[in-house]
Amino acid sequence: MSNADDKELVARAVAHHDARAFGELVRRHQSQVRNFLRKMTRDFELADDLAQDAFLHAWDRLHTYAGSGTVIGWLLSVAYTTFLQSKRRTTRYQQILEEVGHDPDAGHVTEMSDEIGDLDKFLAILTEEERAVMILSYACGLSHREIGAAANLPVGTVKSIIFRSKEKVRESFEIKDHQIG
Amino acid sequence: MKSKIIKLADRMKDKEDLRLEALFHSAAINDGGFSDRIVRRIRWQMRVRRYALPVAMLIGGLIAAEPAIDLLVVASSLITVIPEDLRTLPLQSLPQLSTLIAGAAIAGVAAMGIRLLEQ
Repeated sequence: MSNADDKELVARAVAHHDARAFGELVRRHQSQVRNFLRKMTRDFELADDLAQDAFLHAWDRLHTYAGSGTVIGWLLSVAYTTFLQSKRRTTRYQQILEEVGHDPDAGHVTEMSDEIGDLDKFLAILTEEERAVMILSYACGLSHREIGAAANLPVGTVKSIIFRSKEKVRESFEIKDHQIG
Repeated sequence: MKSKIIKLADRMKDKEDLRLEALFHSAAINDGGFSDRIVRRIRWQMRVRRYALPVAMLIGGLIAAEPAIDLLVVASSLITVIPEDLRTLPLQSLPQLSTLIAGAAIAGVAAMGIRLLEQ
């Protein structure tokens, strides 16, 4: 099982409803998916819950994986969709709480890690879409084409988002001569 | 040829890209039972989906049994008010055995089809 490549495992999981084959895929890619969601949410506990949901969605939709891109690219696209859906639900929930005059953040402390402290400043100046594209590119190592597939964007848009994000960083931190970091 | 050049350009990393990669780099997260939890939840879901329909039918049948019996009792009492000519309906007008078998077969195939669609 551990010798099989990702696409073989997907085929096995789809054809035989083989949870063990899918479990092997989870074992291989959980770190990247969880890292991606931790950077997107900046909340470890929430990120792991979302990662769990994302893998369960991936299991349900495994038959839709066309096999054209990498499995990790596809898993990250499912994770990104799960993140956006959760964000929409949370926003709606907060709106309802605000409408009834309740402070949504009262008594709730979001758990954040020091590990991404420096990165946090960088991510804070980016929009959600820019953040997702930059994380998929520089943290997950996806190609522009894979990012386009994961974030449902044309490749040209991905490139311009990366370019724009770098510009923002240079301007915000007054970095000269491409000296980021 | 052109696409190869584009791919090569995609892979070319300047100093800035390398610095960004270093900034975004994080240590691999230890599985710590995460994948086992996912597999357990998937197996649980599969079991639930497999048994949900038969269990729902059984529970529905049990709930419906009492009112169904009541309905039959009421219906049987109505036989007395059925007109005489209907009660003495000729046997030929009732569905033939072959019709009943065909109907049962169609119902069986439909039930199996619904089951397959659900799976």
